[in-house]
Amino acid sequence: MSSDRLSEQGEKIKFIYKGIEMSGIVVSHDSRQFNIKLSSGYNISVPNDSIEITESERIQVSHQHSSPSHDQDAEVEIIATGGTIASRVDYITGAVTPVFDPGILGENIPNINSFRYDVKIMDPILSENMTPEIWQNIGNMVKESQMVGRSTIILHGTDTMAYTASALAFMFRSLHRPVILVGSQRSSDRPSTDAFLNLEAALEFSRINIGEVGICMHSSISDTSVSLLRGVRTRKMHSSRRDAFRSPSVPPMASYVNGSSSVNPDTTPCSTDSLDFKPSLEKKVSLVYFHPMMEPEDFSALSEGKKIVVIAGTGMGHVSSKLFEPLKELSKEGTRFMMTTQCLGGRVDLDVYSTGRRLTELGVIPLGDMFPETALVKAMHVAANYPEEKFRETMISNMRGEILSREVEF
Amino acid sequence: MVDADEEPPKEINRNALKKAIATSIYLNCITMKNVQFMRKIVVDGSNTSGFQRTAIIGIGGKIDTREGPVRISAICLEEDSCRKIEQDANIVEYSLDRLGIPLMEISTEPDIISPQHAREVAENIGSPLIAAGWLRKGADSIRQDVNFSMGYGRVEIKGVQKLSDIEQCLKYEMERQQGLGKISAFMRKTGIPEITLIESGDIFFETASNVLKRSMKAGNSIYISRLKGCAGILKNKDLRLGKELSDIVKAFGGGGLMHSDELPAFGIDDEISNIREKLGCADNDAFLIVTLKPESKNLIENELNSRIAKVYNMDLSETRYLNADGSTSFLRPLPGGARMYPETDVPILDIVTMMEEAERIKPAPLEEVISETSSRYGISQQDSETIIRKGLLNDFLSVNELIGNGSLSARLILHIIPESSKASGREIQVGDVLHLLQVSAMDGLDRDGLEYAMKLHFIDNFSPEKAWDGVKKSFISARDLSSLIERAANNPEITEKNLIPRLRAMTEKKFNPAVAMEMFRKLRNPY
Repeated sequence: MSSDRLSEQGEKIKFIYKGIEMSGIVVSHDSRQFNIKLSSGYNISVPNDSIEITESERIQVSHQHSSPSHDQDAEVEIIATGGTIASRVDYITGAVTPVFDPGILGENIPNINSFRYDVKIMDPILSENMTPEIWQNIGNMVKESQMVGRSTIILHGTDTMAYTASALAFMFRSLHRPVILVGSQRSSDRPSTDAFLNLEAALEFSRINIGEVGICMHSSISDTSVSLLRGVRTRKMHSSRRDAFRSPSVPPMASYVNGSSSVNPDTTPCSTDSLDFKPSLEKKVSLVYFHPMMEPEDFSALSEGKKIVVIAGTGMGHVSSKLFEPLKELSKEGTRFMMTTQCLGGRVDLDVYSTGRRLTELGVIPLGDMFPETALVKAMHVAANYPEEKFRETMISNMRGEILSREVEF
Repeated sequence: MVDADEEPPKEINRNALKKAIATSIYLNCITMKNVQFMRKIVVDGSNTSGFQRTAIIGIGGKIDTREGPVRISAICLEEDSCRKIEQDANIVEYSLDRLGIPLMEISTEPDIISPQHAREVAENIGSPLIAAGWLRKGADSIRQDVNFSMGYGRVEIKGVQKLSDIEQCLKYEMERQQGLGKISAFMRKTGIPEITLIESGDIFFETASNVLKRSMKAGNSIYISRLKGCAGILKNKDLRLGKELSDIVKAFGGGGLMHSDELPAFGIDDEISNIREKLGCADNDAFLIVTLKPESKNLIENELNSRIAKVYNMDLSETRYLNADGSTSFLRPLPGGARMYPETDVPILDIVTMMEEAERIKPAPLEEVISETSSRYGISQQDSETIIRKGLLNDFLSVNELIGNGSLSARLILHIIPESSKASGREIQVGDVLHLLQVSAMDGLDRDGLEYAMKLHFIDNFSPEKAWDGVKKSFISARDLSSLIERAANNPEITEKNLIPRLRAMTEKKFNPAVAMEMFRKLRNPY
């Protein structure tokens, strides 16, 4: 016999499963089975019709949606957008608690008490579900904290962190205080978590004199060093390692090693100029990754109706000559094509090979060594905020460090 | 990458899972319909990721023993942890060679009534698994975590590898707890002493104690403390509070601990009166000398006082480990359920479909294993039973794999090794013998040659290579012996009666007369 009433998540139960008496806490329960955390700590899943609940008791769960700390005189604004870093699952009750619950922070981040911070919590968003509208929301929050002289730390999922960082970088012509995106590759319940050290470093970086948007993540797989990387030059280079984020050819803007931070002088200092916040973004854009199987109709399908198409071409910026025709047609209809490279290093050059020269004739704009992702976001910003005739010039000029005048090393 | 927790784990090892399910069936457990892996947080360094993956496969089983059925609480499939190689004050060295190997944890309910019974249960559970060939060869492929309770809290003893150690360590633990019970009663009368570590100042400036000199050279400072009213309970017959405290100092990275019940010794003599004076010790007070790094003074002082409180309250629950001398030492507090997290990287796996397959490979019961081993390897039923009951099956199989001779393997395991151990005055490990056998260049190795090689290696300290050279020099090889006997058999002058003296005349090397005779008879009377 199954229980008369449904036991709820977080309820402490005694039950009989196939003649064996056990006790535990209901972690989850659906129409098919119970997931129960036994008193030994093990979780088991048992079909509904094979357990008999003999006793159940609701336990007091402190749902620690503890009022995020608000501090009028905060020096740092922490904006939690979601992602691995922003949440911590209480596996006993299944409740999700914010990772910046003061108790957890105090226990795990040694420097937290020397900072005055204010916390804003957004509905948790997985990195892959980020949209330009959310970038704009975040942009507005950053603007507000900049206006009152606060640095901003943004807790963000790692997958599309570099896009958000680029969007914020282009939205502000200058920054009064650092804007830091911080994430984690490993959730905070694992001993290998990078969440706490990344956050500790982000707090340190929030006081340095860098008026740029940076990404703050581990620089090695040991829990000892964190880098602040320039948002527009940063890529997630590994799907799982803690030191996944790199900015090839550009040294970190700042480093935090064994508890002390150092700043790279080759960065833009905080500014007192007007922020010149421009949140508008053009959304009719596309990023097309060329490959040898790409047919003209594939290319057209991905580019039609778009104002701007960033192509990730092969090598120095090439696509098959089969695509010249649709490229020409779509250009006539007003679509602008720009070229970046699929290579992880180096720049495009449309003068070296005949294909490149042909693409130039067709009006394709070469974007130097700008990353395809950065180029896409920059194009969204430029198209929405600059006059048509300035588009090309603005795209190929260096606005926020996204284009390198020379490559130092790879 | 997976071992550093830098990428998600790969798919579960189906073969290991199948064996775990089969074990669950074999031990009459209720096998789970789903397998859900957990991450058990382990931060002593034995897991590079800081956790161990583990899942319940079956629950609620039982196994029959001479003392009645013993209930099996659970069978878990886990990833094994690293093996500890060396431990220094602040550094533990681990070997990674065992990390991640599938491990089955089989736990019993508290139905075991005596140390002998514990051993029987371990035999009954383990031997069929060894016989099924599921265990890797090696001394630590079966380990027992022995749980013990006599009313003072649960003590889990780790590192019990040999079945023969179970009885010994339970006996030790029982005596230890009885002794501590007396100490607790004593302290209840005299009051709970407090340890306050103070710097020893100039007391040891010119000490003759090498132990202390070495410890100071290693960067330790010497602290002393009075233990009010504790003279005679630190080390006095079964009263051993000193060892309790000394274990704590070692476990928390200190250099070491000495106490008044064991002094004068270790080159400490003249200092004793100075210590007593400095601490204001009365005659019935004891004192401690503790060497440690100044930065760990507060930690160790706190831990020492907690230990005294633990003894005073007789709540002895903790995890301990078995030392080589059969005693046990403090390892860490007992883990709680709080350190378990669901392994979110591994989906919950439906194993109902694997039941049938697992049923087919289910291990045979112990009695069948005994007769099966006897017939498969051509050894007597009695030898087979002894090997299995003594937990020597894995050793036997390892040896047999190398020499391909069941009766000789049995003889080696049951007689030659114990006898050689006795003769050489040290306990010879099967691992050492395997090493000797690996370099054997003998074809047709026989008992005499093997015994001689054992003597040369373990008693005369010849290297394995040299030992076999010695055997070759003294013993005729099987091939040479058979050609010699062929010649003899073709010689009509040679009969069974004069065979052995004639053979002795033909070679200076030793041979086994019984073997020679048998070969001769076979050649003469092939039918």
